[in-house]
Amino acid sequence: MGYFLEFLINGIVTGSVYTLIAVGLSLTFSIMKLINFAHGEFYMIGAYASWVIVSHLVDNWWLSFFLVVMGGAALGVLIERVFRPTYGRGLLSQFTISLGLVIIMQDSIIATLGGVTRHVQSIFTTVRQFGNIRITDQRFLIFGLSVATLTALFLFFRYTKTGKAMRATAGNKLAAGMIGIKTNRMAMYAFITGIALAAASGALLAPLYVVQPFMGTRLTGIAFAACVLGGLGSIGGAAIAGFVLGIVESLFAAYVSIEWSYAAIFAVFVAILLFKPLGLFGREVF
Amino acid sequence: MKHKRFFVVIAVFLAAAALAIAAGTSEKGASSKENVKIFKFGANLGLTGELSGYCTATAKGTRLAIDQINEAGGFVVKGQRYKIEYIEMDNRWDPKVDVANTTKLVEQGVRMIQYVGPAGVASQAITEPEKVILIMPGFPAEVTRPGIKYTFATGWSENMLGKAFPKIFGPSGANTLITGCDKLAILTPIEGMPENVYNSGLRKALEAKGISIVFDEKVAADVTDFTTIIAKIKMADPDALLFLNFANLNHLKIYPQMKDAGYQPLVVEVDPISGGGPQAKQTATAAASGHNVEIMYYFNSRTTIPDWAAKSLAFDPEKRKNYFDTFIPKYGIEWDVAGSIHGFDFVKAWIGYAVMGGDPMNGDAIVAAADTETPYFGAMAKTWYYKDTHRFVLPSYFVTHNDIDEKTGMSTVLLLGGGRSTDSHSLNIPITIDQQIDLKKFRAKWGY
Repeated sequence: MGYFLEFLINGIVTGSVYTLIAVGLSLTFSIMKLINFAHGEFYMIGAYASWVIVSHLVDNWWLSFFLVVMGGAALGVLIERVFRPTYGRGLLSQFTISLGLVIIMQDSIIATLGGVTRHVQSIFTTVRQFGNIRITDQRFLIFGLSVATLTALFLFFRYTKTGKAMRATAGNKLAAGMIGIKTNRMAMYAFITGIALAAASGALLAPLYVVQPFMGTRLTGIAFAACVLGGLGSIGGAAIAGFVLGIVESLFAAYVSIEWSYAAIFAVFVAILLFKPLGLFGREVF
Repeated sequence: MKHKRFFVVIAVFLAAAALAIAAGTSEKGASSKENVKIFKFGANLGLTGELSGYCTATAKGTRLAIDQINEAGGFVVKGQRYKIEYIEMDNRWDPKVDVANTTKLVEQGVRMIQYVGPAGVASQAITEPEKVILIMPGFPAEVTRPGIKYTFATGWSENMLGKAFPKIFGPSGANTLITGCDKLAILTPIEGMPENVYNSGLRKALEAKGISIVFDEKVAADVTDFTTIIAKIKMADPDALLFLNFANLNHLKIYPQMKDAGYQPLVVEVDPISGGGPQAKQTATAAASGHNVEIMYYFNSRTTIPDWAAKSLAFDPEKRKNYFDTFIPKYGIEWDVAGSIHGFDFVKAWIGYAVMGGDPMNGDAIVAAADTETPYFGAMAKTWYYKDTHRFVLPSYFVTHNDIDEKTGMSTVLLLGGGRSTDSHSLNIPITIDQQIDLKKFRAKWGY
């Protein structure tokens, strides 16, 4: 039983990583109807930015985290302009542009910072013991931040004027425009928030994983699976699906095979969609 | 009259000077007209991605060797001088890019390729028809299948790893014997040690010695969150862990995460330094100091090679010293990992075969030279090629304690030389054991 609990907790922590990435992706889809296949690369950029700042500029992780979030938001403003002409024009142009962005971002990192893996030292190294289970503060931070992000987004969309305006845009862009909502601006806010979340995730996870140019690829796949599994357009659904996938991966690795645990995520994803084609939550949760 | 003489002297002097200058110029002109041919040497390496540390080190060693050859005037074959043009490409550990790189290199006229990538078989489909020499690591096994002529891969003795893991482990360089390891957990990267070496050599040896494998899993090279894996290993309750050939991605995180999990088992790690690049080396070194890690690895610049080992390995001490004296100031000690010295020695060895063959542009001539099985005494060690297996072999410097002699209390140190499975490049040197630790008894005594 003790080991099962440890595997479950590992899965929840891993799931919070997936949730952070998936929520940003789901946000951009729900409001902009934009599928950004380059989403994971912003996570990679965030990790590299954190490494550059901590290694070469300011040896202060919190400051680097703040700068990465701000930088991510600024990058989001820029990249949104690239995607703007594709709104409403279908998947093909979005896919093409985002694929191009993937290549540009990966190649830019390789050209400027090299392809060798990088390492960011964690400052949250305290290990807390609960019976036989040990969890580092870094993992607590990741879990805490994902819960805090979800809570903040929930409150924002429910109780703020801008949040409601964004939900209205997600519901019906034309009608939202008719009642005076600046829908392009709402789309921009959604995109910036999504990119900033991805970049922040990269900074947060860099001390846990290694920083390398292709680190975003695996997470993009899982983030998409979480978004679709949760129900396209459902931010809360994406969050819950992220946790589900993390737990599935951990328990499968623990009791079946480590080698096939990544594939197991997608096997579960396909299996659920067979029975629930619209995902776990076919309607919006927020 | 005096003036006339003066002017005649000046004129003669100027004429002589002009003649001298003309002669010197024409001599230069003659030597600049010497027909120096270009020999193109390519590299298709995973400078980005899972093995970027090893490949980057290989690239640096390769460059150093080529620079040295060129600075010495190039190489001469039957009176014809050649200078080497080095073309390096990054395959990003992507099979499509890998094959595209090989195609480009062959189209540019390279005659040899130093290769480390994920699509060896596909790349050799391009190089074999063009008779381009492909020099690569030992995996996958089919790269030297019958019928392949121009590909040369490193080989491992199938029994090597089996010998390296007797029932008794012993820390390298120390005289402590650790016994009581009957249950072994093995963790391997999916792209790791070739199956033939692992399955036939290691497993057989472990079975023969009565060691049971209680955990045997593979993990993708890009996985860096080991918390679940560590918990699973703990659940299996092994006496020791064996990490086989981890890529650099994994190295950075597994030891800190084991520490976070409160888990400090005896870990036997095979050759982390050659695979990992600078970060892996730092991690492995840090790990050895605080995490009960027994690292079995190649001798590096900071290891003093005892005379008895040098004799067995038959390396050239002067070449070794020269290599480190030039490599480290140029590239830094952090890149002194086995990949770099591999790259260096392979270039020197294969250019040597090109010279021996009599026609470096002719793949058949180079193959004929290699088939003489003339060893190359390199900076790392004697490197020799076996034509029956189509593999060139690097001696392995795993040093481990073998069975203890209960009467004398002495243990023999087994220095493993690689080679064919029947190769006997090992030496048995008596070592006095200072202390023995029986892990099983120790655990039982303290209730662990």
